[in-house]
Amino acid sequence: MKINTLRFGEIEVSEDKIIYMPHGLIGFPELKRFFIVGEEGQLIRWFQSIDEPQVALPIINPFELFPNFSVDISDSDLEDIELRDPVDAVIFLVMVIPRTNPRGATVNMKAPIVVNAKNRKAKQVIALNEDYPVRYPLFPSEGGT
Amino acid sequence: MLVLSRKVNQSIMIGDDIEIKILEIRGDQVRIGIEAPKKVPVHRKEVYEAIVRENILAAQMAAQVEEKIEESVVKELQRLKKKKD
Repeated sequence: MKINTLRFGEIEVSEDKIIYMPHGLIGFPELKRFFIVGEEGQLIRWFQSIDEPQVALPIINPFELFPNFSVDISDSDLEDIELRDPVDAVIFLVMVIPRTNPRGATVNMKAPIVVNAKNRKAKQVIALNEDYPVRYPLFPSEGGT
Repeated sequence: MLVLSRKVNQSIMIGDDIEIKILEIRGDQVRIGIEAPKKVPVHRKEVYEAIVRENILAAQMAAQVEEKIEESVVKELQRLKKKKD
């Protein structure tokens, strides 16, 4: 299907690439369908809303940058996307990139987006990890905010 | 809203397996112990609200990020990744 986006213009997305979030994104409950722009291995990809062309969030794969990243997810969150085998989980963190200070970029470790690769259902969960911050600076030594 | 009065060390049960216990009262602060099965997520409301704000901020900021800025951040990330490998 053809999808209209602000950032990428009109793009063609095959139905089996659509990610469905039954609860929407936190703060955007009405946005339930997304797809990912960018290839695997690309450090920044985009979580593009299908329902709202203006909404595209930059995302990263935490395991590429933080080898020790290990998110603790509640059973009810896992049930919501029918995730039974951790192998099927694809995890992304949402980035905030300040235009005036890109080196002050942060990622939200507290609320990863978890995609079940088997059925493409996803949820932005609140990690049970007490020490994971909402605003984790990616480049702390290089003059954050 | 159901309103109950409790003293220190007294509890409230929600259903069969969620217990909320008042541990300590000091001035205007109350320490609460929550025992719930792992299938029930328990969070401070501020955390949820902070995530809402962060998502909105991420979307707003992203709308202003041009390709040039994205490329510069990708370069920084590559550097970061090399350091960690």
